[in-house]
Amino acid sequence: MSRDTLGEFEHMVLLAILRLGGEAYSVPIVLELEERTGREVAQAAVFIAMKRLEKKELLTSRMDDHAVKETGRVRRYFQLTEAGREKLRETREALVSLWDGISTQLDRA
Amino acid sequence: MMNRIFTWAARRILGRADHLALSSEMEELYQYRLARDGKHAADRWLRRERRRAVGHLAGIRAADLPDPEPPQPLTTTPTLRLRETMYNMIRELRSSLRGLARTPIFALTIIATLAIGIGGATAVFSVINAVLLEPLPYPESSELVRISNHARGQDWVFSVADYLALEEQQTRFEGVAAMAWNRATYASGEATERMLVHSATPSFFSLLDLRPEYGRTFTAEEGEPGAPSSALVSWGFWNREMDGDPAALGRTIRLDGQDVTVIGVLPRRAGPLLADAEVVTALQLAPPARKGPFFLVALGRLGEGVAPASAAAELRTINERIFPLWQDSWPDQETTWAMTGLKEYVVGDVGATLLIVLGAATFVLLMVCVNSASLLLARLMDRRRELAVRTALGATRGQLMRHLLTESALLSIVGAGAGLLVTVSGIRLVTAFGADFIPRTNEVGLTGPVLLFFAVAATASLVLFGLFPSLRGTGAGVARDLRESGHGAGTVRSASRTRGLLVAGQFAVSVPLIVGGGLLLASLTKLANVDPGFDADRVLTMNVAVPNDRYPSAGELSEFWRSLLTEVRSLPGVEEAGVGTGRPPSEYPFTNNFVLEDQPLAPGETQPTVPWVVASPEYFHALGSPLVAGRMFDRTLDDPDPDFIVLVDRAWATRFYDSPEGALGRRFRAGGCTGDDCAWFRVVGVMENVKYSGLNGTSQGVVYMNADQAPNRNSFLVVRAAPDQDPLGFIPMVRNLIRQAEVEAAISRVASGDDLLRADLRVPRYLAILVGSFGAISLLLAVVGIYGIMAYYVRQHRRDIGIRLALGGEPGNVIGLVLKNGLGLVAWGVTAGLVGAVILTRFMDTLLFGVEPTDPYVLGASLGTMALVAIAACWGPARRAARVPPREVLAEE
Repeated sequence: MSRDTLGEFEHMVLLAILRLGGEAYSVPIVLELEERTGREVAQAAVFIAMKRLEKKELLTSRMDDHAVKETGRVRRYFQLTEAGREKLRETREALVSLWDGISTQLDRA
Repeated sequence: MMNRIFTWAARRILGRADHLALSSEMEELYQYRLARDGKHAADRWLRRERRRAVGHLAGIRAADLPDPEPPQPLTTTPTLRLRETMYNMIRELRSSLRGLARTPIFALTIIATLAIGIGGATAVFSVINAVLLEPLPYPESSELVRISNHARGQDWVFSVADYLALEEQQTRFEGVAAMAWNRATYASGEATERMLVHSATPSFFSLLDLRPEYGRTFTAEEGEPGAPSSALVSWGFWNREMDGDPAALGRTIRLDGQDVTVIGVLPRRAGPLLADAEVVTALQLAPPARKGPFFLVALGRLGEGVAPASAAAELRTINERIFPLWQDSWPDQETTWAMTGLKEYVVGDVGATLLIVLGAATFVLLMVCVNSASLLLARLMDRRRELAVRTALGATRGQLMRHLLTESALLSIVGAGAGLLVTVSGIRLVTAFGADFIPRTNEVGLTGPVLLFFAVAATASLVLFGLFPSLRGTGAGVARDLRESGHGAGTVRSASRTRGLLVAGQFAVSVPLIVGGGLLLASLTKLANVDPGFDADRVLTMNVAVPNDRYPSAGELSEFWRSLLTEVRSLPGVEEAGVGTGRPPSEYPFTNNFVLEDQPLAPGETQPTVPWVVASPEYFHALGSPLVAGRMFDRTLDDPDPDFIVLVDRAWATRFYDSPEGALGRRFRAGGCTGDDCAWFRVVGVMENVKYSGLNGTSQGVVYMNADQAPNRNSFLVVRAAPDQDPLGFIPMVRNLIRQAEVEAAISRVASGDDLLRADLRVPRYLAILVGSFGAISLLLAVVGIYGIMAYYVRQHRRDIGIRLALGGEPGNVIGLVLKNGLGLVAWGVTAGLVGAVILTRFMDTLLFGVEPTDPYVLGASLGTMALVAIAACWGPARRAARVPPREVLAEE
């Protein structure tokens, strides 16, 4: 397990991939994020974040050779690794334990 | 622009594969947004996205990213590495081409000016190389000298007496030779023409080591007086007149009514001494009775190891030794013998002119480089954000330099290619039109040294205009430009200063050119307004030469001319016709020396010498030259007179007798004849001055003899047409009359009076046009420079100007500020240029007529023009500055 914690954006990207079935490329991820957060997301930022996560071994990637042949489009698909899923779990637990018992306070304030 | 940076950055940071993936995925998202949000929104998104992408790419560190894909298992063979390098180069080239295609005017300006600069300088150099630098096309030509008479700073040719003494007594030369330049009439049976027929001693060919193409050169016997005439013909003559047939050797041709045997053919390139000669006959020199006349060009080849000084000393000694022998006919003790290098003699004083033109061309090339550099620098400043981004993304200085140098190399290669075309057309022009006043033009060409000069000029300009801005554009200041938003950033300021210097330098360089061109133009105007002494309108002239074997007596010859003139005069529309051996404004057959009866000379004193023209009485009327005093030739009075009756011109009369009337009745003896049996010449009339030694020549006086009394075989026919008649229209009729009168007469050099004046102005006109256009080009370049820098200045200071105007500054003051800034630069440049002009124009003294090099009007007009043009160039940017809308500018921040 890595000592690094996830940045917010990285966290969101990983969740989006998970929502899209554990493997996705930048276009659906951007749309997913925009739909869920209501904010415009820079595609290059998503792409670069995933490259960074790949370096941290939370993602692996492959070029989609099929798409190149079929449509002439080049796509890089990123897939959650086991370490990635573990990281998400860890982060969720940390956040849940932090949130424990304070959501009512926040809503009242 | 953003797209280019994005592509570049993505490829660099992410690697090729991910760059492709990201671009393709962005395209996919774009298509999606296009369908969902419409084109406008999608386009805006794409622009935003790219800008953001660059920012994100710039923000990441290589360490954050996974290693780029393991490179394909490349075995890096040299071939592959070469292919990689080629690929990179082609990519740079294509990117540069795209960049330049976006700014075609910028690219074309640089290419065109480079072509003019490099091509012009190379063309001028090709002439200088052939004329001044290349040795004469004779083996060991540095040993060759020309030997001449010398006195009072002037050199003149040898006489037969001089040459025979030299040949007999000299010991310092390996050999000596003499040649004479002549024209003769060649009759081929079909036509008769006048051509250049030179003659040379047999030693001439061995001295120059000039071998005939066919046949042989003269034997010593053929150079003896009385030997049968023999000749070598030129390559051109042999091909034209003898069908290039080697069997033609031994045949005879008719020259001046004499049969001459052809014994050889000159090589195609016979060297400058025989450049235009059609035929060279053997020069046969008989011992003379007196020292003159002078008509031989004497040549010598210095002996092995002989110092030129000792040869010169021997020449002086021989001259002193023979002086007493000829003292009667040549009492001038000041005259001595001197020698100069043969090349200097052949090249003459054209050298200084050529160097001035080369100087002008080099200046222009320098300015072209400066201007191109300035343009590139300005463009660089516009692109500095792009460059800064590239630097931030990790491009090394070397890579940026490579990028910028590719661009300038591309420009200079295309520019140099176009320059080569300019050179070739320049060389064509010179060989076609320059032959009349530049020697050795047939040796001009794209030779090795010329190509070397071209390569050096092209490379130097690439370095000057390419490397310099690249260094400027990639320095440390670039990184700062990204952080600061652009105002007054370091690079901009120092680049502006550099450009300012360059522009001031341009004005400095163009001052001497403009002033030089102005001086030549002023001198041309003065020349064109010189009174030639004859009325050039309605005048037709031509040279008519009668063969030697016709009209053996003077009476028959003058009868021939008289009847011909009567025939011509009877043509309808002809007002007058006469003959004379001279033709204004620049042709006379020879000069003669004389001693006045009432102004005897002390022994050793130099006799005056003036042009000598033999003319019929009608000649003066036909030229429109009036009688000032005394009377015209009149055979009823002149023939019985024991003296030769002559006319003189006003200049002669005032030179010796203060007034035209004072010269009447005066007598002199001519040609060095001093004995009691020598004939007297008596002045009976004074004519108005006519120019014979060029419009720029000062008349020292002219003596006219009567063509009726002393007819000449070779004279100019001068015809004056009636008012409203075109003189050139009479050419066919006059030709016919001459042919009817004498079928073997040779007619040549037909020209109207206007043609003659134009021809005399040709050299000064060429020079004025040449230097003037260099000046105009340089001024144009300087103006482009100052305009560019001021426009840039205004753009840079838009904000300051806006604030000034917002705070109530007067637009007039803003205009003043900008003008002051621009004209300050100009003033610096012009001041420096004036110093250069004063130094340089001093060398133009000999080229000027009636104008001093420091002529205040020319200087004033040149500077005034430059000032006006500079103000005009700064005016546009200044006006734009005054119209800066303050509110908008301030809102932009």
